[in-house]
Amino acid sequence: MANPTITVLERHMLLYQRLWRASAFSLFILPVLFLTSIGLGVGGYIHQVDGHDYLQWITPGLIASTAFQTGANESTYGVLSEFEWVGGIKAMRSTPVRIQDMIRGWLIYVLIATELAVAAFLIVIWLAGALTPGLAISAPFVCGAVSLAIATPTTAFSAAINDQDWFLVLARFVILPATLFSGVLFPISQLPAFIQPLSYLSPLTHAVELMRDFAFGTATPMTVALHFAYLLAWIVAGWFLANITYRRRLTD
Amino acid sequence: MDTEFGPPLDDMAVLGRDLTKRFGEFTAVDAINIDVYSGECFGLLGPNGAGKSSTMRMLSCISQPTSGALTVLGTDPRREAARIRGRLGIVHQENNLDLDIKVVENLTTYARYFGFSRSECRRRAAEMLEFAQLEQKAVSKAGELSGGMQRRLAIARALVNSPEMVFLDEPTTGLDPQMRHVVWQRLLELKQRRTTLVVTTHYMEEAEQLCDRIVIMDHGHIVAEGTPQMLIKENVSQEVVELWFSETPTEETAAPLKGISEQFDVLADRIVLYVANGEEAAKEVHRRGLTPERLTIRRSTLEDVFLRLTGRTLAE
Amino acid sequence: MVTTDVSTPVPTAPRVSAARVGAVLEYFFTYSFRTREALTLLGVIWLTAVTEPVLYLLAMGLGVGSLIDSTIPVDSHQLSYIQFVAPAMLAVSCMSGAISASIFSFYTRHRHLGMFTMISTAAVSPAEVVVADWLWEIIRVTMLSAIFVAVMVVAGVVGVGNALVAFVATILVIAAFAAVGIGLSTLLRGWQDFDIITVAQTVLFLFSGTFFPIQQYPEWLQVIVQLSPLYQSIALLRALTIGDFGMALVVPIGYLLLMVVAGLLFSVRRLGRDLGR
Ligand SMILES: Nc1ncnc2c1ncn2[C@@H]1O[C@H](COP(=O)(O)OP(=O)(O)OP(=O)(O)O)[C@@H](O)[C@H]1O
Ligand SMILES: [Mg+2]
Repeated sequence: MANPTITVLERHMLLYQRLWRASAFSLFILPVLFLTSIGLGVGGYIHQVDGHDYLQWITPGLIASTAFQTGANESTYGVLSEFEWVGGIKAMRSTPVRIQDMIRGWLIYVLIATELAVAAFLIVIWLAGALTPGLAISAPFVCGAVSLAIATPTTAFSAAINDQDWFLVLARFVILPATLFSGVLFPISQLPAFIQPLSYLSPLTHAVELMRDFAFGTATPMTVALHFAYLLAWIVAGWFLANITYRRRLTD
Repeated sequence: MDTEFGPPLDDMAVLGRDLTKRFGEFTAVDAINIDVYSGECFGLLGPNGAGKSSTMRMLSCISQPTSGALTVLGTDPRREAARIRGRLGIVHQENNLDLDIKVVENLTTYARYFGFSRSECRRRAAEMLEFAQLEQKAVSKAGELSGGMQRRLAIARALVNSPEMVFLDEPTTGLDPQMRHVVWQRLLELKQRRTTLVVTTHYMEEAEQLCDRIVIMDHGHIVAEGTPQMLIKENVSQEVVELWFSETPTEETAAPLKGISEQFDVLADRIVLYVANGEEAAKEVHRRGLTPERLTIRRSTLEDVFLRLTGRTLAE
Repeated sequence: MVTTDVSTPVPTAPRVSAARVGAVLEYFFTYSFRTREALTLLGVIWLTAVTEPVLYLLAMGLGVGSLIDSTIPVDSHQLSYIQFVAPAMLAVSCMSGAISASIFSFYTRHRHLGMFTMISTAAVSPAEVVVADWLWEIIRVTMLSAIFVAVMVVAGVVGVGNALVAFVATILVIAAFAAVGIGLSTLLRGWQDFDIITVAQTVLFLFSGTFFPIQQYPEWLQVIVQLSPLYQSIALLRALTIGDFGMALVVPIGYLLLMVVAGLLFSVRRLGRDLGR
């Protein structure tokens, strides 16, 4: 008997197949662009951060940031259009597939899309000769976790709204501040003292620290466990919210 | 398994009591009782906004009733909705197809939701393509099909799991007359195989052709139910005289008709008179000095029942 | 119904009447404010519009800026990093505002809502539709750039006088990108092409001297970058915010004006063909 979650995933992968050629290009080109312009360009004016070259220092954070963006972006229009325009989810609703199967299948799809983006990023770094084992092994786990940490609440949000303009609000109030102030481009310690605790609310901050700890070999079991626990808390909370908003929309 | 009504009754496909659906303050379906027998074709009729689709969604275990008791295929949907849906075929008012993937993929992905193996899904998809006469279009994108073909695909998709009961919300709206007959033929075949059908429609001909029993809804209430013949007999007289006017008739125009029949409706273009004997009534109309542009006499139909009960024509 | 004798040549000169353009603008206006919810949402979006420049300035000025101890040379001036990067962020915000306003909203309204087909049957020429839409985008995005400039003044990055001049220049930048954006949106085949626009915008964003002077690049790359419309916009706004009013401004201003003219002419032709005129 086919697992319902898997059958939901199969549909998403089928739909993705039509798009992958277009997105494969940007998956590879965007890391190159970011690394050369920010890493090399801006890095030309920055001597060292925490004893590392700027390019070296931002690379782990940029990978985490890419995963974070993928998780968030996939879960906006992709979810809303299912409810508003596509009707695929209403079709699923007419079958034995349960709401939790729908959400689970969807999130696994987001996870796969994220890992593809992460893999492309790692390949670019490897081609540049800068891939370390620590980075290669930890990236899929950390990035998968941070992607789901933002994807679950974003999915819940997208299932609760009916006007796509709300995504503008989400982008400006949540995604942009998280991207800018999670220690990707500069250490959080540079921020005013009152902003620093806010930074630690963002799941991306924890993912960036994890990635750097693994890349530079400064990870300790304690910090790794705490960071992962925080990401897990987001995933679990988002999962419950998504179940609530999906249920409200589909049992009407 | 026991339900709220005690042990399940084998010949009852749906048993609904005081079913109510509210959206906020608005009551779309107001405490209706619905019974559907196994193997019959059950019709839901009513004007736009009557609550047909809302009722269908409750009966097909998609939406939860706000209150009331419901048993579907002998099972309680509050506990086993997903399991019951596995035995149902559901065609929504909208097609809900994936327009960017192929026609056959629409069928196979949907079949997978029911837990069939991949090869079984392919086999069933091929069978359904034949059923819907879409073999030629199997590898076209669903979005490239005409509206009528998409409707057929949606119907075929709902049958891919060989359901015991099928819900069809306005299955033939938007189809041309020929295609409509093809779909009716298919539905009659299902009926012969003892599949229970629940259909909503705006076409009286469809209801008369397919349905064993009919319920007429208006404003969330059931206003009449029975077999088509019974409904006609109970609610309208045997014959109907229609008086057509070039100008919109008013109550005044209709005043002289009072003695001929107590039952008549004044519409935008005509007055409809319900009588036992059409010929006699027509003579009487002329005797009373009314000069309609045209006068027709015919046997009464479900359409007239509908008009009598809701004050509206069906085709609006 | 008006029947046209096809043998008589239809006048092809684009006719633009201010009254009809005004009527179309008014229609866009009432459409945007059609419901209570739409209005509330619009209010929330305006509120969030302030957050964008504040966040960028904080992150770039306080964050990245604090890692950079040297000043950045621009012509004869020595700029702090935030002074260097703020006008560039302003230009980027104008660009992405105008592009998303024109491309995304023009596309939805034209292709999905059929709005322009509807309007243009009401005796409005494609040229009038394009001009009205272009003005509409300029009005909307200019409100955003005004907020951005105001934040720059409050943050002490630029003086009030220079800020006013720079604000006027943002209107030109927005006008240029909106005109080109409308033209591009008539070329899009479907949603899959939006990805290309996004990548192109990112390339411009990262390689137009936004975050660091282009002198970092090899000679040949510098020449290419100078062809970028975003580079020209940044050059204009950067010069104006530091009070560098000279003949050198002729180049970016000419470049942007050319974008306006070429973008509008192209859009009118494409839309005319789309609407079968
Ligand atoms: N999700 C919903 N939220 C709010 N109101 C709803 C919702 N679904 C239906 N309604 C309202 O409930 C009433 C009944 O709707 P329903 O779709 O059941 O009518 P219908 O009989 O199927 O009409 P039609 O013939 O037009 O399909 C309508 O007034 C409709 O506006
Ligand atoms: Mg309906």
